[in-house]
Amino acid sequence: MTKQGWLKTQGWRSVLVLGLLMALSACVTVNIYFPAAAAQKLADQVVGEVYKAAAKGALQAPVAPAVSAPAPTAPARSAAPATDSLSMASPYHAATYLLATGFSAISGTAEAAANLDASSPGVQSARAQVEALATQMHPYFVSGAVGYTANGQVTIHDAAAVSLPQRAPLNGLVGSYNQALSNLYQQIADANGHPEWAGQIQQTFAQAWINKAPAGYWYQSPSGQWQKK
Amino acid sequence: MHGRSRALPIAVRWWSTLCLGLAISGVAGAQILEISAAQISGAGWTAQHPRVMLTTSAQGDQLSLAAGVVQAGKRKLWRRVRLQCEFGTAQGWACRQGHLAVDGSPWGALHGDGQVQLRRVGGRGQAMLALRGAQFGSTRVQVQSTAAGQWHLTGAGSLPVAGLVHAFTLLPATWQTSGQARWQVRAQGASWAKARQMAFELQGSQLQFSSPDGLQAAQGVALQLQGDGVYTGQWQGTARMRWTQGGVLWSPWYWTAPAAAVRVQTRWQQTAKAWQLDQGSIRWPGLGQGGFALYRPTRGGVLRWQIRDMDVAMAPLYANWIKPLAPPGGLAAQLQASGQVHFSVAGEGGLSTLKWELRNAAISSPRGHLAVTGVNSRGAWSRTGKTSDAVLLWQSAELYHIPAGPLHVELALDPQGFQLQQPFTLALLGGELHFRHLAARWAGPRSGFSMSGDLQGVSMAQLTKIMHWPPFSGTVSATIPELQYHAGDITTSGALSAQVFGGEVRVGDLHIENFLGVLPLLRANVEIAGLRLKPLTDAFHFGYISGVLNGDVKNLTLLNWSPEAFQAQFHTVPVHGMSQKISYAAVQSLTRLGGGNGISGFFQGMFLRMFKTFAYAHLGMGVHLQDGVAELSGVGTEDSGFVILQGQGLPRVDIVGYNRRVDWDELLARLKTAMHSGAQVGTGE
Repeated sequence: MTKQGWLKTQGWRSVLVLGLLMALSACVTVNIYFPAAAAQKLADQVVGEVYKAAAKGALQAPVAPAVSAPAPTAPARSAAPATDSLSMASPYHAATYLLATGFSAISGTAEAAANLDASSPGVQSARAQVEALATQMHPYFVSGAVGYTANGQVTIHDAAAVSLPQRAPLNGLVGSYNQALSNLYQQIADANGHPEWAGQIQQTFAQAWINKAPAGYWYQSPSGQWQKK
Repeated sequence: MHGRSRALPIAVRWWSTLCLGLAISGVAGAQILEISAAQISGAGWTAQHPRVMLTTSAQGDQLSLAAGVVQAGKRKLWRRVRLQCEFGTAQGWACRQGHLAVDGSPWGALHGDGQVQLRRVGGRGQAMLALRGAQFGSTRVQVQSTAAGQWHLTGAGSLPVAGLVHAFTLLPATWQTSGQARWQVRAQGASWAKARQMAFELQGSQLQFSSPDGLQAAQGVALQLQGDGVYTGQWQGTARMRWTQGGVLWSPWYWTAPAAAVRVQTRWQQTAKAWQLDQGSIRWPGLGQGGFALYRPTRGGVLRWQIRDMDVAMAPLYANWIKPLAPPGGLAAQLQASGQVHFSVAGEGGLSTLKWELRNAAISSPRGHLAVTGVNSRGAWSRTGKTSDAVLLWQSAELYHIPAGPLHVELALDPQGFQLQQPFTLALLGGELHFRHLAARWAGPRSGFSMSGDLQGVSMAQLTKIMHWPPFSGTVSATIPELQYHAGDITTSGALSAQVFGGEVRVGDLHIENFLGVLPLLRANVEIAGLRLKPLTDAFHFGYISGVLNGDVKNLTLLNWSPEAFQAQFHTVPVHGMSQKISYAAVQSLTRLGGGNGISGFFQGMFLRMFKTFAYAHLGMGVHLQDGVAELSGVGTEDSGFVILQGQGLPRVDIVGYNRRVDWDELLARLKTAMHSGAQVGTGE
């Protein structure tokens, strides 16, 4: 083999390896990240409305929010350069353009999926159940009989804070409310095509329940210590 | 001193003396007599390391008693007991200005003052004990005995109940208790070792207890407990209880004392094997009355209980005893009940048997989702027994305001659930609902109800009116496959098929979540085949259309019974011998539905009015509802529009829509307008 032939072969190999690396790196970077900002915004909205409904004591059919916020997506190292496609005449540029376009298309899909939608009937039904139970839970939160845990659930804080007749349904109510909350988190995750997000959505809501809780509500710190808002 | 010690009455039978020490000494003019033992025992009690010391001096005699541990049975009652008093012999033996100190007891450390007097009058012995202390209140006990050893004891006092509860382990040690109790006791025996009769009365007031989590508690309870017993080889007697005040929480139940006292009385018996209550009766004003029995083995084993022939009002029974078990927010938690029930129930580590007779009962929910009146039922169930019979009757029922006729159903009950003995039929909206299968399972992953059956001749006019749907005439017949209800959800394993307007509507993949709860959610797929358009359009006053319609509604989602999302498409199919014609009025209706204002051109309208009907080749429409917006489509496209009606022959009428996206509420309004304004056109068919 001549030196030129060897160089030519090595060049093709390099291009092939480079192409493979790019393809592999493109595959690795197609991740759909949990849209933390959108989830936070949605949690704040839902939690605020649940608190409002609970305080009013009136159950109303919820208005479906469709929150869309810029989501932290995959690193932009393979983003397509802003170039004029007409000037991309060479096979190399054409291949690069196609690769970048293809990848940006995949990335674009990832970004679209990262928006959180809570308008599905399942989410609305789950929210209605949470709001209905939150209305019943309201006096127990106000008195300090129950409080929020650090993982977006509720638990009994001081049952003696309410009278004996009020205490009778407390345990069952806490259990039902926790079921309704878990269902809400799962429904939001399902509605967005990512059932595996339920845990992260629950953690996001956990912060929202505590941050937006009215004064006097009790909540648990991550270490389990009770604190009063 | 020796003479005095010989004269000591034998108050107890000392049958076990491991080590007895006797010492007499004199110190500075005083004489001391000390008696000590390793252990002494009587009937049911033991004192370890007892020590009696009598000190005589010119100032007076002092008696001191001490013991390490005093046990009653196996229970350590007192620890480190000391009693000190002035000892006198003027009228019998007296121990005055005594002071008692106990380091450990169920009441905690005890300190009290009191006196003990022992007298011998005419061959009879008499002992009197009076004590007062902060922890155990006041106690006054008097014992009289004969030379033969027969004795009679009376006692009375008051004490804080906390120690009493702990002493008898009535509640766990971690629970808080408080309150006061006054007590009286009478007992007598033929010898010191054995009591033969006893009677007691305990009056508790302001009784309170609370578990650490506060979910079992009582406040302000007042009750009276009376009992008596006699020993004839084993103890037996009677006991009575009156509960007059206060509330008791045993989550999820809470009961308050009614205005008239709750009365319980029973016979009791203690044998070597068990504690037993028998021939018990309970009278709970406002609730009902009945009998009970209880058997508790003393050496482990399962508690057995029985409630017999209870006559109870359903309203308080359901509200205070059954409803607390229902999940909050569910249907059962909202129901109210009335009527009377007579039942017997028994348990042995869980419910064992149940026998009931329900008379003239009714069930209703506040929002009118469910109402059943004239309910009568009787039957029996056993956890371990064979299949038994039950019968259920009602006069009328309503589900979501849909009325159902009288019911008479016979059921076969087995340990796991029930099933129909014979199919039955229920009158429903001018038709019938025939139950081929109805069954229930109490527990397990498949718990709930299941049914299958047929619907015959149900009036759609009545149904649509009740459900506030667009008016619909005609009747519907349907086949209901296996339909299951579990924890508020309804699912089907097959497709519901209904025969309407000469065709068939099949509802598959039906799933209703939160049925009868807050915002029920229905999901289903619907297929329509062979629907005759003429009777359909007649029913809706849409204008005349003939032909046969096929279609489907995929991913139908109803939230609170209102459409939330679906992908629907309907289209006509040519059928041999069936004309495909449409009236002018129907053309107008379709035009409005497609977003137009009807046929607006003067000459165009005038020309078309000259014809009663028009032939068409294709008719159809698609609706994709999502987020309150309906996206419309047709049987074809033309330019940028969608074809709803493709005419045929002359005069030819085509309807083409251009507004593909429309608000769902707007589309509903158009449909309503079309149905109300569409004039009926006679066609001679």
